[in-house]
Amino acid sequence: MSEEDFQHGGDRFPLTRRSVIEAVRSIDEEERDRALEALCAAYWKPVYKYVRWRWNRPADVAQDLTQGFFMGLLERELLEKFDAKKSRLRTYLRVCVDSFVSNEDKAGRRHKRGGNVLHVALDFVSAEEELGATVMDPALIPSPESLEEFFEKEWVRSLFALAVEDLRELCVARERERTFHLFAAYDLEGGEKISYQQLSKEYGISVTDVTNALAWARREFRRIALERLRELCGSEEEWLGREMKFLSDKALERLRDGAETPDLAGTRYRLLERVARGGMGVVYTAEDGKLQRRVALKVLDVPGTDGDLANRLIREARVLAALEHPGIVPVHDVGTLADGRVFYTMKFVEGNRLDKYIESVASFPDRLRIFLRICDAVAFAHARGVLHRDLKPANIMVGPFGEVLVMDWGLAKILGAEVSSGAREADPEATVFEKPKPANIAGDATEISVVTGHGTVMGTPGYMSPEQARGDVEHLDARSDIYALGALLRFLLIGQPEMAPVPGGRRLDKSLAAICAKSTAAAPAERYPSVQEMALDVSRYLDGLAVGARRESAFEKAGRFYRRYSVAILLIAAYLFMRIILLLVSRR
Amino acid sequence: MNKILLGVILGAVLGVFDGLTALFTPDPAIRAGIVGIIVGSTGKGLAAGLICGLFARKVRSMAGGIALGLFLGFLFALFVALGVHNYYVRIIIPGSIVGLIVGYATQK
Repeated sequence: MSEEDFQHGGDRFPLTRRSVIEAVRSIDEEERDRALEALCAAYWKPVYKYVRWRWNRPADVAQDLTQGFFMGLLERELLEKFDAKKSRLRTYLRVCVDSFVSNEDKAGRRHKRGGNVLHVALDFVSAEEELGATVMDPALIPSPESLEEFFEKEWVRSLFALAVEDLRELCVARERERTFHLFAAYDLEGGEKISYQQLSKEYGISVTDVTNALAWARREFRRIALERLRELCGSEEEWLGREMKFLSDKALERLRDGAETPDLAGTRYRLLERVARGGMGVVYTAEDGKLQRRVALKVLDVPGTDGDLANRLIREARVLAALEHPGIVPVHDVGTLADGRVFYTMKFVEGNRLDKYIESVASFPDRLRIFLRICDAVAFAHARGVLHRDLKPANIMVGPFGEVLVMDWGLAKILGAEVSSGAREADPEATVFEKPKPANIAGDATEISVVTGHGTVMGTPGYMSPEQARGDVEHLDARSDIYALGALLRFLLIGQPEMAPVPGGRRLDKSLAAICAKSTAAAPAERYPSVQEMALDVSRYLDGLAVGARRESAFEKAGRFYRRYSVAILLIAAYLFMRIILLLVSRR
Repeated sequence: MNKILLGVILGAVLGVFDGLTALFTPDPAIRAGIVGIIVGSTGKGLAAGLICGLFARKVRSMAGGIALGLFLGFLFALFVALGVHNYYVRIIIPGSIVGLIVGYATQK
């Protein structure tokens, strides 16, 4: 980084992923101090509590160490060594704290520090109170995961506390103190949740006013928290992603839920409950006020309609709208919420994901019939020029009446159309991951690596065709989905998408194995040319006929004929046998 | 194929075949009356096939179809055997099995 990068700090830090880190390295002393102050404000409590918990230090020693650590951040240029590609900042800081405390112990030179560098008052008394209220299991201390979890949780608590304080100041500035009180009563209280009606009575306002006030407060809280997070070198993924999922504290959960909850004011929908998180956003159930029906509402994580994710969500809605088929979930509406997030609504499907549903289906023929219905939907999409590109059990829903619906068309490719090149958001189940560097290919297939060269790899390992895994997006066609269908068929039959045998696992019939092998051939030219042909082979197998994927011997043909008509053959044989016996008896 | 038609055709074919097997008996009296045997055997096959076909159109049950076919085959063969006062085993057992096959086929 050149010095010019840091000379025009201005009043605010740039909203980049590493803004505070960069500002701390700035040659502008004022900016550097502000950055350190921001860093310290967010991290001093987690560091202090961590020293108290992990290193079991008395309060006064922990206070010294905490102040010394933040001073050392500058003196030892620890932040210069931070590499965002290798770890998150909070993980790096936690490791630095360990190293710092350990070194201090070895040197035996703890002495009072502080004063010049730290510009924020460190309220160690409140930190001690919080520490006393935190449930900590000493037995977990040796576990590296528990250390990470503890520091993570305290960091989020610290960040939220700062954001809540900012929100309070904002409410005071806008003369909306009552809104803050409502927010505090509803979202910050750790006890039993109070209802909107109770708040309405308590504050002497209508339920609608309570709803509006809380929606505004959550929207502002979310904005403030996101701003702080961006400033602190974090990212929206960290704010919204699974890193925070293990938080158990009720108030933190409510804050997070409240901040995430979409503001449906101005739409015809009323939010009911959260259903799932997908690659791009969260799916809720909502009630359509006009049509009085329940719908599924998929809303993007991040505000704005001009980003790549927003484009992808809108594109997904349009793809779904173009595919009217009983096996494809219909889309009802698309739009932008008051908080700037893009959403679309679709049919609410009550049912199970295929991987869960299949556990209750023991018979092979029933599983194959489900598979044929999936093929039907995919073949229809192909006929409309749409590739799914992410077919896997988690993206198939089976309804209460056995209806099969292919979901999540977020990665769909419209044949003949340009494909979005920047879609790089990661799915919690590694649905989307970036192209591995050559050195990493032999390693963990789900590892997220930095994109190099052309093409972003999208799909799910195990279900993704080789050409898709190579990022060869331009040459993908229906045979890429056929590969995924082959893996899906194998999953339905033996419980895994790959061919590798599982000890004690089911043995696959030769014809079915041949269908799977043909559809998952490495070369697209060796696969079925269309989904219909693959489905036809599966249907032929179900009917006891020969499949096109495999040439049978005469013996196998006879065996198949016998299996198909075994009862009739046995009956006729019994009749003839009985006739012969009777004739022999009558001739005596 | 229409289940009633299938039952009738199969019953008739198996009935004819069942009647023709009488040609292999050593008793010349039986061979002399082969036409009557074939007609009678075909008639009971037709009747069993018709009833089994009607049943299959109303009820989807393999076990039920087989049981009904077996019962009808036995019943009709018993009537024939009682008519001739002889050859009970040689008439009733094949007749019952023909009924069973027709019952199975109409359900299949």
